[in-house]
Amino acid sequence: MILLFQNINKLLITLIFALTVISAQPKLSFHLGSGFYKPSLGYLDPDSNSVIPSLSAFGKNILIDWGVKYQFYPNARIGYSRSNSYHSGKIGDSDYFRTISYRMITFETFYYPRKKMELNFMLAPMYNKGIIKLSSKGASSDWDSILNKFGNSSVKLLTEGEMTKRWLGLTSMIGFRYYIYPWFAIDGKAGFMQNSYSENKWKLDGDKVDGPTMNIKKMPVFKLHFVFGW
Amino acid sequence: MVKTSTILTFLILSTVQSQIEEEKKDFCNSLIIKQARESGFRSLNFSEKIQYHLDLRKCENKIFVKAVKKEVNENQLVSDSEKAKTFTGKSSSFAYCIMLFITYLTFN
Repeated sequence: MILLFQNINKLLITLIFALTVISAQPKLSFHLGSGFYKPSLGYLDPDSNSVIPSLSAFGKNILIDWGVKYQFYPNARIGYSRSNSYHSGKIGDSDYFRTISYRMITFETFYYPRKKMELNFMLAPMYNKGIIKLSSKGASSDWDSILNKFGNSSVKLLTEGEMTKRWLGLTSMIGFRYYIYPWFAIDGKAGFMQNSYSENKWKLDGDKVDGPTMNIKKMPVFKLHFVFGW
Repeated sequence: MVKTSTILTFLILSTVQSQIEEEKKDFCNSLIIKQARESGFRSLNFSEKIQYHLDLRKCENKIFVKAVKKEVNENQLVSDSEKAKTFTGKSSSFAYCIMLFITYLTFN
């Protein structure tokens, strides 16, 4: 009983201390930007899979980034960040849309070697998601037969399906940030993204299917962000 | 009677006018702006930050507004860099670990 009471006391003291630190130094920042990387998208690019629509550098090498970070200590931030890769086109009569989302919980420490200049070091465990979506509009003979009886003409219906896959990863990066104003900065980062991806066990309508054999185990990544802070 | 009322109206109008002028002056030297100049922009809470921007917008002396903005921004940048000039606690160990890890990944 006494032990439990002591534990609760310790927990309360820790919570109060944490809340005091957080409320004493509120600094929330939001970033928008893009990244550059060079993945090997086995069977997700037209070179290895003739079915896939043509792929530009935007779909293959460019990431669209956004995220939120909270400075909880003079030298440390925690946050959530996302880097997305998109590819869209047509396969036959269907619309094709592929997304790879690299989702990170970021831990970052930093210091200012000079006024306005910041060096930062980031480590981020990732929980990533891949989505391949096909949607098409077509006539359904069964629906048409019912609708004809009601006096309607033929109607085209949208059919849609998507296969998804989730996997874990880790990002480590070193960055340089230059503050133009206290509330606006430009941040460049370089580092590596590691993924534990395997092509097995993609999910399509509850069924497990094999997916593309992407080689994204270890990739160098470069990022440029515009940071807005309060 | 007419003379008295004219004098009264004149007195009231001049008082109101002087109050308006004083209020105009106050926007430039409001408490919020003073606090931002003395203790930094981040010492203001969220609603005070909005008030700070509103006061600056209402202040008619635009040269003064520009100077205040520059001063507050510069002071804030100096204060931010002073606060995190060196690593404290375990943050340096964290940074060294990442540097080592990235070096390892680069050569392997």
